[in-house]
Amino acid sequence: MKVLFVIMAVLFLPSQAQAVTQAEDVATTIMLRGHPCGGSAVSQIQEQSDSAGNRTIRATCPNGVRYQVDVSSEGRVSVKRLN
Amino acid sequence: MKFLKRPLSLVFLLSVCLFELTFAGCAKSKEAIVSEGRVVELHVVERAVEPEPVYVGELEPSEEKLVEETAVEEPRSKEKLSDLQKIEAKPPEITVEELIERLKKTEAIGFLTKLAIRADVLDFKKSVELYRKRGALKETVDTLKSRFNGLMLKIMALLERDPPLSKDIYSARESIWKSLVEAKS
Repeated sequence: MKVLFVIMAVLFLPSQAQAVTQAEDVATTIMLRGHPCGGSAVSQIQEQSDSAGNRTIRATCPNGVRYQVDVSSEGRVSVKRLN
Repeated sequence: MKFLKRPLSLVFLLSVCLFELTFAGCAKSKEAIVSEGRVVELHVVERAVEPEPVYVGELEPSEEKLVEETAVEEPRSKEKLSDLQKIEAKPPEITVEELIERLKKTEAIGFLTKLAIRADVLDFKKSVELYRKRGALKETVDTLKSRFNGLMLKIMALLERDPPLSKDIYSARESIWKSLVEAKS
């Protein structure tokens, strides 16, 4: 009886949140800023950062559009279409 | 007692006894969890809703006592039911700070997305402050509320992989709204 209870508990335990990949994260950010992406993950990710702490991420969406995501040192995120 | 001499009837009797024992064991294990969760509160509610039948008629003295005991237990079960209703009516108390901490820690949203949401929330807070300073907060409450609802929907959609947090934010949305609007600068 106890064994059965343990098996049932393991089967019905609430699963923890799965970690998202960087490709998914960038795609979500692009969509969150109102740009179409055509999928849930981007490809060809390029990252750059300057001495002031600003970050620039370039990535291609599944619909073929390439975007640039700028993250300022204050934590502001903006998205630009490149092509 | 003739049936005891037959082996088949003995087996049947034993199996019935075993079934009764396991069933009683399950009931006891259910009662053992009573103090821990709501699921078991429901079990108590079921019991309260369906009281044991009371037979009235010509009874022996010992049976009369039993009837009296069950009659006394009924109001108790009603009290229990009302107490449970009070507990269920109260929403779970989750502070805004706790939700923010959980949002920071969750792995369901990536770092960039978290930054983007943070920027949106800060913008929203700024606009609330701006309307409050102008003294036009009452006039724009409806538009601010719809913006707030949109923001909450966005966050809940992003928390698709963390349903417990999404559910808690949804249940605490009114208190978040109140804390935003009623806060004095």
